[in-house]
Amino acid sequence: MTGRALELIDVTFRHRISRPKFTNPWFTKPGPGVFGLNLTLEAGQIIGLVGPNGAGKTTLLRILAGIMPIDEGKIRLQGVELDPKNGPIDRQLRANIGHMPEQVRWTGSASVNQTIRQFSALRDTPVAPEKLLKLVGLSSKSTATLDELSQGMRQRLSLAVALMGAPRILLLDEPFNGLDPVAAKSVEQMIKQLSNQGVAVIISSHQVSGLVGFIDKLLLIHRGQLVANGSIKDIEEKLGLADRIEIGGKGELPDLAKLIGSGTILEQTVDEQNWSCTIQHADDASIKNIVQAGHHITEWKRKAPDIVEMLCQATGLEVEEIGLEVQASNMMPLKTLSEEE
Amino acid sequence: MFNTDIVAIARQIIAEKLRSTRMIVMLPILILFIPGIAWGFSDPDVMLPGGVRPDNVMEVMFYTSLGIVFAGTMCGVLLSYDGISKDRFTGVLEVKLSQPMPREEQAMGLALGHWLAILIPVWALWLISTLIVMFRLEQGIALPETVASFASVGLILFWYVIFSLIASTYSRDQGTSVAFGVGMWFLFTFLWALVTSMVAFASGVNVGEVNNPEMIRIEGFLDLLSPNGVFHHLLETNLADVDRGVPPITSWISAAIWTVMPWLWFKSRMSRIQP
Repeated sequence: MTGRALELIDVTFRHRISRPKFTNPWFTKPGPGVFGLNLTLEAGQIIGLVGPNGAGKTTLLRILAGIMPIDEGKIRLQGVELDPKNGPIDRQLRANIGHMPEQVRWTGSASVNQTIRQFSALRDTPVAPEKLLKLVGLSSKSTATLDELSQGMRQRLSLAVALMGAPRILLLDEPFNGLDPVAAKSVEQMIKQLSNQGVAVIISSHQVSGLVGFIDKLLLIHRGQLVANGSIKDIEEKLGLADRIEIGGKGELPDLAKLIGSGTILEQTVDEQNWSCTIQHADDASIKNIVQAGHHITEWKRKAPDIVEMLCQATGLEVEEIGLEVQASNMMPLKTLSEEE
Repeated sequence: MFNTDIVAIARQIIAEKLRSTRMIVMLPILILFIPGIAWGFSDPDVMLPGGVRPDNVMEVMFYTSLGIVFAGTMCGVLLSYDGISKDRFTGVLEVKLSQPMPREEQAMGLALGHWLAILIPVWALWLISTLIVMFRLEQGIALPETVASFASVGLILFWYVIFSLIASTYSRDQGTSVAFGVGMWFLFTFLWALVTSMVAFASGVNVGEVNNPEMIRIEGFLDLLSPNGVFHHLLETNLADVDRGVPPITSWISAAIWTVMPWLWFKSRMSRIQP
């Protein structure tokens, strides 16, 4: 299925920050938000939204979900510009979009089935809870109360609610949080299936390494602005991060400057017995030259795209500065709540 | 005005609240305060302070309304103070706000659900109390009086519930909303007498003098500014020989204002609320 699912044109929204004054206790001033966003989402496309804490990811998702109004700009849904004459813009968005917020802590004595039915009333959509729960792998817990669910099961329930009414656009905020690796993989497969059926998906995730190879397009957001927007390959090229190889070997470090021709040495490290280097735009003969010079190569591979590196490059900041730390397992996000979020 | 989806939301809240631990804790208090007071005040030998001896059903029910003021309203506050703040705290509010149902209808479902959750048990106990008093005094009551009595109870509970829900829309933690609700209950239940005395004193009225007509008039007027006061004005419309300078129509208009204004406030809050 093709066609434009959603378009944002110069969309701006700023949070109002309370600054009470003696003369006006309700005084607010514009705070952080998102500024002049232009974005196109095609049907069936999977977009990854990445940015540091407080960059505006959640705000952007809430705007798209019709929770927050826009201050300026236009929104086109399936090619048609949303017009307030046809009803509130946020409501028109809500009718077409499924939203799964980050870490919903479902609690209470209501059962999973009852919760699904309650939300079907809010969506004005008749739903078959069994079918929906089967889709997210929660069938066996349909009669369990919300208090009995684990965090992973709560994530699945959030996903089930987002899928109600078969939305054409799905917004997923940290969908893999709390899921075990197998469950995360099954959610990933389900997202791909939905994408094949024409559902456009935006995923905001801190588990950035998991997004590579899974998303069609990447949005890098920083301080409320899109700093990069395109396929991972395009962004790599634009940011000068493409065509890099990593070479590792034993023994002395080769004289790389002579052996790699027109390539650029980005990084080289040496310890007692091994060496490694990263070279960009290396000649085809580079490896051959190193081997012919008598060096022992143990590893040679294309450097995999690194979204964190892209973000650093796009923002001109160091990893520590932007505060996005990626753990080795890539399973547990580090999260700090900013004022905005 | 009400569609099935609003009713579905309300029904879900009612079911949840009626089965909640809070309700289990509050129910004995309500039973003690409403039918308990009705039983005591309908005793043929009862003598109230000031030598008052209630001798008809509506008069006894008027004094029984103390149970509504003290227990019913407090239970209403405790049942609804986290109506929105809990959802905000858990993230469920964001899921609800992203659904296509208009916010106004969501607000209506929330208000209706929380109100009925306290109204159902209180009305049941009020009915039992009325029957007890009728049985003990061996008197009947007219339908208009009964309707006015039940409507008054319904209205005061609505005011407290809607104020608690409004507070809940502002607060980002449970403590703030419960503090607002309990604070409001405390102000109108206990401190309003102080406010009345201060205003009367500032107006040159002899506060200490019992049955001072000027004091009764000021008290009657200031009661229109308090939900508990309006509630008593409404119940007084059923009593003969009570004149505090406020005609019944004024009491009902005041009740309408107390109903509509907070409702509009709540609706407006819900239309602009953010997770």
